[in-house]
This record gives sequence, C-alpha cells and structure tokens, in this order.
Amino acid sequence: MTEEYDDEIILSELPDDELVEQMHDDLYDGLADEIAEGTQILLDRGWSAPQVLDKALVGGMAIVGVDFRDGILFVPEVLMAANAMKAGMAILKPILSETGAKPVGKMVIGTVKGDIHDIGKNLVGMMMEGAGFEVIDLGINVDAETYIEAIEENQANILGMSALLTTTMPYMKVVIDALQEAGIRDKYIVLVGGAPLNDEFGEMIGADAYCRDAAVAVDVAKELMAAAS
Amino acid sequence: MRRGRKARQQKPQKISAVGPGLPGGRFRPLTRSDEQQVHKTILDVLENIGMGDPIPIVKEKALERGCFMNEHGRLCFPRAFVEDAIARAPKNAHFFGRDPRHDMDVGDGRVHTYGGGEAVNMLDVGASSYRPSTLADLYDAARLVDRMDNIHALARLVVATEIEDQLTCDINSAYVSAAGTLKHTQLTFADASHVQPTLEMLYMIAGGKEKFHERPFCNGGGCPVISPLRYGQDNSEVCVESIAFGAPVWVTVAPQAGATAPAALAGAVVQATAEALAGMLMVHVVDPDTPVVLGPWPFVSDLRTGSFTGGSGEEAVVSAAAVQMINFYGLPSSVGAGMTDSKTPDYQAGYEKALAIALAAQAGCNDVSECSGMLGSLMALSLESMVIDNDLLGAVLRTVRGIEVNEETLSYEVMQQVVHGEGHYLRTEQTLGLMRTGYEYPALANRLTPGEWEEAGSTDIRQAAGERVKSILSSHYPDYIDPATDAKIRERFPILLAPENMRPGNQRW
Repeated sequence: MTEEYDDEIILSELPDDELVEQMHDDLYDGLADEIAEGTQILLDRGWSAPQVLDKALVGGMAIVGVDFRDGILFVPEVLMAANAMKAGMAILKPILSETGAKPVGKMVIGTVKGDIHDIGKNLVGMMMEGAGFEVIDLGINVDAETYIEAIEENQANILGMSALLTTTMPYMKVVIDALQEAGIRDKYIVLVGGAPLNDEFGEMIGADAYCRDAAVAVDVAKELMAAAS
Repeated sequence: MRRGRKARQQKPQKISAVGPGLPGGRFRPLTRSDEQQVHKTILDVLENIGMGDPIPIVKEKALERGCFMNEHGRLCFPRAFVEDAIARAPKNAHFFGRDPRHDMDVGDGRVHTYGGGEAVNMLDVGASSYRPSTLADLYDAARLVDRMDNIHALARLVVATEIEDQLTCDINSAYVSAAGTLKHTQLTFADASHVQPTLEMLYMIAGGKEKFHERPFCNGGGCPVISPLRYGQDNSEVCVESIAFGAPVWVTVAPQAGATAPAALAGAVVQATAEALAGMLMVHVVDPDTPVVLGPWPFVSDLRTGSFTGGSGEEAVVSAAAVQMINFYGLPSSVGAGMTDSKTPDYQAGYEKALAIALAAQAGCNDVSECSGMLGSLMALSLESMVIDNDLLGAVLRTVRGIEVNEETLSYEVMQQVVHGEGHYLRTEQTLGLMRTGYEYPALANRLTPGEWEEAGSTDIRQAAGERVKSILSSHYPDYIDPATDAKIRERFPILLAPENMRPGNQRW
C-alpha cells in the first residue's frame, strides 16, 4: 500500500540545496534521526544556526502546515513532523542561545484551574514546537500565580490557556485580570482555546485571540509575534 | 363494536407501538470469542496497569479489600476482586419519575432514552447561528422533554452559561428540570459539596426528605475518569457523594479513540469498558448496594483535525460494542448516541443520529443518552431537532420491538380468508387490531403525496418541527411545583428564573 522510497540516501553526500530539500521530505515523514543528522551536517558545513532553523526546519514545517490545512496530512503525521523538528531544535538551541540569536518565540501553556482536559492543549504545544517555538507546558489545573510565575521566569512571549468546561472558562479572565493587576498584561500575547470558547468570549475576557484549533494557534502566534517585533 | 366516537375525539387516546423498556440486545458487533478476549484484556488492564490518582476514601477502602498500589503508584484491582464486584453489583437500577407513569426499570438490555448533552449553545427555531445557552433554555428543554413520548428521562441538556457561580448553577439546573418535567432527571454537579444543598431543595419539592427517598426522582453522578486510566478528583468525589440520593449513580467515561484511547477500535472498547468498571468499582468499594449505571462512551477522533466526531460509523459501532460488553457483565449501561457533527437539523444530522441511536438501542443499551436535540458534536441543543429526534426514536424503538412471530401473526388463516374473500386486508380484524398498536406513527415525518405536499406549501421537516416546538412551548407551562412550595424554595435558594418567565406571555414563545 505504501510507496517504496529509496532509504539508501546518504545525507552527507548531498549538496546543500538537495540536502535541505531532503530534510523537508524527512520532516514531512517525521524522521527525527535523519533531521538531527541533517541539522548537524549543515552546521558542520559552516551554516549558521539561524540559517539552518529558517531554511531547513521552519521551511519544511511550513510545507507540513499547508498540507495539514489542505487535509493531505493528518494530525498524527503532523505530530511526528513536529517531533522530528524538535530533534533538530535540540541541536540548534544551545548554539542559538549562545550566539544571542532570537528564537521564534517562547510560550507558556496550560489548562486552567479546575479543568483536567489536556488533549487539546497538548496538541497546541506540540504544533507550536513544530513551528519552532519553545514551549513550557504547565500541565492541567493551573492557577493564576503559576501561570504568571512561569511567564515571568521564562521570559516568555505568549501565554496559552485552554479549558473544555464552561465552568472553568471564566478562570481565564481571572488570569488575565491578575496580569492586569500586576501591570504586565501588555508584555504578553494571551491566546485562549477550547471547545466551548469562541471569538466573542476571547474578546470579552481580554485575550489577544481565541484560537479555534492548533493550526490556527500556530498561525496566530506567528502573526502576533511578527506584529509585536 | 361501538368505538365511542365522541369520547375518543374529546380525549385522543395515546396508543403507541413502542414504549420504555423494550428488550434490546440482538445487535452484537463482537462475537462470543471477541467478548472473551475483550473481557480478558479488561481484567489485565485493571489488574496490571491500574488507575492513577484515586481519591483517598476510594484508595483506602480498595486497599482494605485486597486491591494494591503497583510500583507506579497506581491503584490496581485483582481480577478476582473485579469479578466478585461484578457478581455482587446490583444488576437492575430503578429510576422513579415524579409520576409513576415515568418510572423506569433499567437493566438486562431494556432500552430507554435520555435527553442530555450539556451543550453550551442553542440553535434557535429557524436560526442559522448558535448563541450561548441559558437557564431559560434548560427550562424550555425540560418542558419539551415532558411532552416527548419517546424521550423517557431528562439529563442536563444545556448549561446555563450566564450563571457564574457553580453552586447556583447546579441548584438552578435541578430546579428548572423539576419545574419542567415529571420524568426522572439525572443531575450533574461541578463539585461534591453541591450535592447536599441540591438535595435539600429536592426534599422541599418532594414534600419532605422521606418522601423524596421513597421515590427519588433525581439521581447524581459524573465523569470520574481522565482518560487514559486516571481518576479525576472532583468528579470522583461527586460520584461518591451522589450515593446520598439513594438512587443509582451514573458514571460516564469518554476516552477518545486515537487521542486518549487506542485508535484500534477493539482497544477503545477495552479501555472505555475498563474505565467505566473502574468508575463502578469506586462507588462499589464505598457502598456495594448502590446500583451504578456504567457509561463506557468511547468517543472517536477525526484524525485529520484531532477533533471529536460523534457522527461517524466508527462511533456507532464502537458504542454498540461497549454496550455489548456491559451487557456481557449483566450491569446497567449507558452510551452516548446521536451526537451528530452537523450544525443544523439536516440530512447529515438525520443519518448520523439514526445510525448511532439504532445500533446502541439494538445492542440493548439501558440508557441511550444525548439522543435528543444535540447538534454540532454536542456543542448545541436544537429544540427543532429534539422533536424530530422524538420521531426518530419512535422508529428506532419500533425496530427494537422487532417482529413477533407466532401462529396468529404468521397469518396463514387470514391469508386464506382474504384470498377467498374480499381480496384485501384493510377490513380484517387483524388489521383493525394492529393498526394502532403494531405501527408507530411519526408526528412530523412527511408522508403526504407529492401533490399534497406542494399544496401544503412544500415545507421541510425543520419547518414542521419549529411549528411543533412553538405550539408546545407556548402552551405547556406545567405547575409541577406548587406556588406555596415555590415561594419557600425561592426564599431559601437563589432561583434565577423569574416566575413570569415560567408563564405564558413571556417574551420567548
């Protein structure tokens, strides 16, 4: 049923442009080891870390994003791709921070207090990582103090909150109000999501955006990061 | 025989071919050997993988009775313990209506239907977009369920999203349910501490604590499991506290195949059933005499997007298989069915609902839930959909009733008489006898000739449904809570639905 591909490609023998293209394919196929190898080869050939990140990894994930949106790739495949991306990022991250290069962005994410549903939140976290963001996942049942401590401590750009229950949705406003009170609301992009939410709710509680799904969250995060810089 | 035209015209008889409690169970997606394999794997899961995060009282009582914590700190149930608990657990659950006509004897594959769904939106009559649901919507939904013959009981159909305080929300939801219907009502609680105050109010409605407990017309329960295989604290506490109703406790789990349950449907059945049993065991170790309605609700993911899809063929068959497993254990069952992904009461909604509800009912589900009015993957309630679903449920229940085969129904003699007589069956005693009791007639489904249909304005079923909703809800304002009691309740509890909103002339209908 599956098409046969030539597994005998020796990445180190490929010229730069072909290697980058192969890495796009390997990201598409979710091959973490191959992405790590390709990332290292490009660095060894004198590419800068931001170049590798931008051309090989983010470029490849952009293709994944488009095909996900078009229904060609399914969620599990996108998550495999994100995982492969993460393997490349693991190599790039120490170099990026050493050279002071600006990362794509940093997000603190968690399911709000009282709520224990985390599958959607996990999906967003994985997709954000796939897009090159650094994600700090606080898990479930997160209170305002914990969110604020985490964004401040990690110097994050984005705060992401999720809720599945109508009973816990209002807590998102509690967190945003706490940011206001602390006088740090404007320092952060606040994104909210979860099945019972909608645009109006996001607006009402003072979030920067409501994200309908994980793919939208990535797009919105990128847009708002670009607008902020 | 004189049939009494005037008497019948004045008081139309309600004769139906179907009713609550028809025996189901003929549809079995799993073979006997499949059942055994699923069962064995369930026992393996409960004994070896176990459940994470049991609440203290459950952990303590389970450990006392021979359960153990494994090296990962998870509560494990030895297979002998599970099998004993299943053998010991009540096999039947009696649900009381406030009117004995609505009593339900649940168990042994007898099929009943429930409203429910906890949607957070309404699709108004004729509307094409959703709006947040309110307490008044829940009251109206309860009144409508009260008049739907094929919806046998009520659960929280919509959430009163305008009420911020959760205790106030839970009490008000119970109040409007009791004000709107005499059918049994299954309640939901955000926190275990809400159970007692809600019971206090129900005692007032019943005319005293003893009276309530003689015939508890409400029960409680919750969704105590975070899939995969972990107890959630708040709802575990709610389930245990709900024993105080003196009524069956409902326990529902909803692992989502591909996301929080295995993508392989057999694995989804194993996990959902194991989790439902874990919910039952939790109540069982605290009070083995309280019946538990087990709700293994295997949900399905659309793996293109990761979102829940309630209308798929996978959802229909995996839910029926989960029912089969609970029936295999001889325990009372519930499952969600009719959770269409369509946003309006359209063709998609119709086929998705019919498929899932038919398979669940045919599998012998005791409590077919979410089957009345839900749209948009449980995100909205449509009252138009509810009245259409009432027809749909009637037709499904007719298939559950099946075909009675005996010498008389095989009709050899009637055939012989007709062939040698008038040449048709329209005037036979048999036809006269069966035309009402053997046939189920939909209220809305259009059976006109094309010509008649055009003359009548070529309306579709949604239009007809809207008219029926308006007709019922503008006139059916029952006085199920007498004014004196109502005043006392309002003195003591913060009831947020004003009396003028519970009478004709309100702005809604």
